[in-house]
Amino acid sequence: MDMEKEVLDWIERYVTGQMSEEERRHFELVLQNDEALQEKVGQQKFFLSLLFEAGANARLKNQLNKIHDSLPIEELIDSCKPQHSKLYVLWKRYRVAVAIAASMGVLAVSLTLHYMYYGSGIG
Amino acid sequence: MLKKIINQELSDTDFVEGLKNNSELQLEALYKLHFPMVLQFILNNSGTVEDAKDVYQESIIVLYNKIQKGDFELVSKLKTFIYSVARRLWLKKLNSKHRKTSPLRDFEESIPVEDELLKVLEKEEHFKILQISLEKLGQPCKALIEDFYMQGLSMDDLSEKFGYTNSENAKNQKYKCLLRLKKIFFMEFSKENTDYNH
Repeated sequence: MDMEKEVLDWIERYVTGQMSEEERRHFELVLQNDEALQEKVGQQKFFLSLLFEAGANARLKNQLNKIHDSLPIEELIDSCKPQHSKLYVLWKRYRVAVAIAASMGVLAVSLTLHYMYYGSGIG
Repeated sequence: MLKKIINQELSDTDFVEGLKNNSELQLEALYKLHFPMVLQFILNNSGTVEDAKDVYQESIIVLYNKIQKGDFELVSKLKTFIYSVARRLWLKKLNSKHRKTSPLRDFEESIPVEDELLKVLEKEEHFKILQISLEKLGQPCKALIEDFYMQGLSMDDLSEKFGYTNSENAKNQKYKCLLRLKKIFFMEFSKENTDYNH
């Protein structure tokens, strides 16, 4: 078990480039004549690279999410939909104002009609 | 500062150089430059804003890793590469969701990226197995492995965080965890019947 730990430590320092030049040369010399070790190094290299890469991707993804959150997303969506005419965009932007104006218009008309029919009561 | 970079209209070569050197500013500038293109493509091909975000980020990660590995050559415009990868990833998602597969509405020219896609899918598969293995590993091993190998914390940070008396203890614990994770991983891996030797 301890021996295996030792070998793993060795391999990890080898594949992550933490060995001194001398150590590395020695390791590679041993490696040349040891097929079992070669297999272990290959496996460990594959496994560690996957771990490192998963970590790097997660960090990159965080960074991209932060950038993404600073995008003016509504504006971008609007400019992506060519089927929306300028009139539609104006309508979307001013629909509340248009609704208020329209209801005031209705109110004005009904008041006018009201006074036309029953107006004599006033004055 | 960012505005300045965008206004200077960085060339593709500048971006590749910037991403190679982990420049956050250039990554941000590149991200902002091409997102509208992918958003337009996805929104007009039965996708949502969230789909566009996922597909775009995956494409940027593909590009980033390729550049970091020194495996990227500017044979087409960067824009074309990003569009092509995003387009291919989206096509794959559309097919797997059995959504309508009418011809895609295109907004840019694209290049074949089948090799790229295969690599991405294989990698995704490996990440999935790793994730499953980490879940099976359980705590505190999972956190220990994630902090050291994935977040890049030092042995001293680990001893403090996990309450080991010294970094030698933390190191021993880390090795035990790594050994167990490796065992679980390669067992799961052989279940999937894939080969790691390429």
